[in-house]
Amino acid sequence: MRRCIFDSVSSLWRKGEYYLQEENRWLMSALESLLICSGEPVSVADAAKATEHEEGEVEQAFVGLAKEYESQSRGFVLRHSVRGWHFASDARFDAVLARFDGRDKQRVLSQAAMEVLSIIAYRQPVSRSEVSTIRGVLSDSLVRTLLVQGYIAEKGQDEQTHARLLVTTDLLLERLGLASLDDLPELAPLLPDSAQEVE
Amino acid sequence: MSEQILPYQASLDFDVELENYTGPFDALLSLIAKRQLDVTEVALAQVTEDFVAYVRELRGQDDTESVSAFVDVASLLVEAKSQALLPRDESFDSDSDFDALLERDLLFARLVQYHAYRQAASQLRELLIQESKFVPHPEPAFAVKRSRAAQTQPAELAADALGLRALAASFLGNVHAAATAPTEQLHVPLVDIEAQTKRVMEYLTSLPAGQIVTFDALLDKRTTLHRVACFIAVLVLYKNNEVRVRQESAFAPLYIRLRQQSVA
Repeated sequence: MRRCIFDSVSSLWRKGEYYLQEENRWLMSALESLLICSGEPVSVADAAKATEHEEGEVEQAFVGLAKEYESQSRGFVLRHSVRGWHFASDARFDAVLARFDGRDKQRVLSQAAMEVLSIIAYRQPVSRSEVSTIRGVLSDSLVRTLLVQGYIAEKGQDEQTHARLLVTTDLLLERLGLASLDDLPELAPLLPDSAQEVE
Repeated sequence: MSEQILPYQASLDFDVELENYTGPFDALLSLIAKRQLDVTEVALAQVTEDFVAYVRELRGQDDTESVSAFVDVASLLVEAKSQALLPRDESFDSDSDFDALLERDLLFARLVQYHAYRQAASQLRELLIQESKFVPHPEPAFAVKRSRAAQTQPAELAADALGLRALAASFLGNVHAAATAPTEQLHVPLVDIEAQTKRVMEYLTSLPAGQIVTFDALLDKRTTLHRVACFIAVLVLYKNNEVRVRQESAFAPLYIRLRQQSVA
């Protein structure tokens, strides 16, 4: 086995890798079969039902599978998004892919739009006027653009002012490659105490 | 194509970019960075002149909203700076002196807060760019589009006699609908505030003297536009001192009555 070379070089922890343990092979392969056939990302819950395993085990197997591909430097990776686990091409082959199908890169939002987006992401639910206050300039047209692009949505209203409140969508999380809002980079280190007093 | 870094697509966002500054706070931070200062209150005072000079250049911009936001911040900065520079006279005006400095502190705190969100924005931007390099399989954007298309597809008809009859009926129905389609769909009907004002007044004068009605009772509920026009009509009447309006609190029912005519 080729892997034995690695084993001898790198330390023992590799042996502890989930994907190297034979008893996990069946579940990982079963998940592979789901991934290759499914038309959309596979949720842990669905996979658990199909494989008749605990969700915790399935989660572990997905992570194991992802690590295995990573260790083999495949052209694809296994990723976890809001909607579930799915294959994706590896970022290293970005340029290859672009030459292959002429795909245009996703349009990057303007700095102003990113500011609005980050304020909504970290403070949601938040009203338009709060967004404008923080930026120091009216931001309604940017909010409208982001709504149209589906990165944010209106959800509920403020009790006192009846202003519609804005939240981010799963589409945004997916585009950010995050599985949940908890995975957003932390804001606190950027925000000194003096600024928190304003809130 | 892929190697080239895309420029900010500012124009796509219908945002008027004022010399690359997205707002007064962005301008302040950029000016502070230009002078290689840390973000402190002292730096804020030091860039006040730069900022005012910049705002002066903004004259003639037709985006009044943005310009006024800049002017607002400039006035706060100038006032704080002049208060700080003037020789202090404890007995006079210490309140306004204090207020100006308080305003500057608040402005500074907001600037720092904005600074944090701007940094967060560039982190998120980096995430978006990195993430766009992973092309998912299956393509989620495609899946979204497909499900939207499925929603708008017409109901399928069976290709038998019944199906054909249904098809014919639906076709004839469309023809009929086209012939009788209300033409107001073609243009937005103009709602006349004057007419609404007249309607509201007629309604109020038809009531016994001194009778109070809720806004809901006299509301023209045909369309949202009518509602809005009706509300504006009430505001106009209130301004002209023809009606009295009372409301306990925000979003509470609105009570309206004619102004009592001082009958001789």
